[in-house]
Amino acid sequence: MTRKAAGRFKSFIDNQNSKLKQLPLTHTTNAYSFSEMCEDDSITPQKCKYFKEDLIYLFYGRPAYRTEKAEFTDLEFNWPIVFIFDPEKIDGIKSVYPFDTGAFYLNLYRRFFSKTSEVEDFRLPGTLDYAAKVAGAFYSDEKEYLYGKSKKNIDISAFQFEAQGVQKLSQEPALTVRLSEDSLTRDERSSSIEIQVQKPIDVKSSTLDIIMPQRYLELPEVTTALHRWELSEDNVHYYETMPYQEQGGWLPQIYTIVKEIYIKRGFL
Amino acid sequence: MKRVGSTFKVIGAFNPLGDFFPARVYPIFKVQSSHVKPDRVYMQICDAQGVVQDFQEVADIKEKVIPIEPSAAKFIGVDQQAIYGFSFSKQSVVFVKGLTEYCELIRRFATEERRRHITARPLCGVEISRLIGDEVLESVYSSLAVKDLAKYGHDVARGWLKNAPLSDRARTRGERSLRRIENSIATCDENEDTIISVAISGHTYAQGYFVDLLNDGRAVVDMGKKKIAGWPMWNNERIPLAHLDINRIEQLLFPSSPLQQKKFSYIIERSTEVFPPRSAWDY
Repeated sequence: MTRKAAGRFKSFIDNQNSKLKQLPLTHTTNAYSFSEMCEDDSITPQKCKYFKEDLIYLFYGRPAYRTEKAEFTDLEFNWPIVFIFDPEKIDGIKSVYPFDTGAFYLNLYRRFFSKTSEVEDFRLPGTLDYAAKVAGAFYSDEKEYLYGKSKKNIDISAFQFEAQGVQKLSQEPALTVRLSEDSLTRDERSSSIEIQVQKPIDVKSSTLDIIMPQRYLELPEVTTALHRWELSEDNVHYYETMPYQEQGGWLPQIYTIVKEIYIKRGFL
Repeated sequence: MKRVGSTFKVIGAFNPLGDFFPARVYPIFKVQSSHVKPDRVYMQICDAQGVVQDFQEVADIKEKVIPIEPSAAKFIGVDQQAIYGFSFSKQSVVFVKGLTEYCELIRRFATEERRRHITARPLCGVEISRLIGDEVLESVYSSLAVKDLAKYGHDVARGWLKNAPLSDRARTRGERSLRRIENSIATCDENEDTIISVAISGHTYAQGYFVDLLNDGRAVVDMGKKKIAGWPMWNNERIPLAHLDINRIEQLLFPSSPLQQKKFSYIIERSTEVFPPRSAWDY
């Protein structure tokens, strides 16, 4: 028997008129994966334990990364490297979701959605048009989507439970790393629009910009790869690793760089 | 709920750069309570003033924690000054309590005891200089970083100068170094452009290739067999570099115009006597 919730969120989005400008897609990774990219010149899909297939996780506009565990993990601890991709160069998009599906599977959205909700209830077809429509439905403009805490008022009917939950998520600030004990690990990923990709991504031809800790330039394989990808002169942006009070301190610095890149490239 | 009242003990350090040193490292804690599973580890959560607000459990990092000697362990709790760490290797982790102490520790490393390790990693030097707010030091390290990066491609060095967080002084100095490399005035190694004279003591002078500028204004020169530090000479007078404007220091140490080079050669010719250093700081 078909669940009533299946397709309800898609219908809601299909009926929305507003749509944001196409934003770049981001992929955040750690040093280990970055070293593999430097070697292969590409990002290859990895087996996903929840979706049982090889996927690459990208986020629409925001420099977020996928939640893998309920606790703060190794990935959050390491200095992240953020790839900003040209949306027109990404092929093989399988699906679009209005949030980080990793966090959904870890039940971190329990305050926002019904216990009986399933991740498939939120699945949207694999076109970036849907990502722009989700952002347009819940946020006033591109800048509001980037920073979260949406102030947009929309009428959502009483039975649109999925859309109501996504709206509540959109009203949370994007940069919050830790709100309370209850939302320990829910941060900017929560309301970031997730893009699942099935095909490998060629770094040289698809990358607009890279944001990385400048200390990685001391690694010859990194410097050589940046030179080979012809990105090093204008498109690599650096952040410091010393001046933070705590491990998550790099987040605001990365958001500032992303904002500057988007303004420079006309996305904001 | 905040973990108020519990005491947390530092059991090791985590380096977000992996096996890459020297590096800022973060303390990993265990709670001093029999009610909590002993395998749980935590990190501190601080506010902008460096006061611990809470502790957060961390997963997946146990194998990557650099252990410390139990005798070196520190204890803190909520509302106390946070603990900061720095490491030169897996065997050398230092923790201090409070941001002020941390900056003092870093300054000491950068200017005295561990300077050699930091000079070998100029990008680390740049970050440290910025942390302690020393633009002269930052300029020196940015110049060294540019020389290192240019070995992999001038575009890499140029891109770093363009997009890295740097003070205007450091960026200008780095750009000048890059121009010199690009114009083949200097290679990535030191050349005769950087030969300077330094005063070791009242009547002792030395001459060699410029290596580095110390925080107190002394310059380190490479004399071939050894490197020594002394006060740079200008018109046979010591220059208290720390009190000079950075542009003036650069004019004196890195003359680029023919006139300045001529003056510099004159000084070098005048300082012909090189005595073995008596009280020199052995670099």
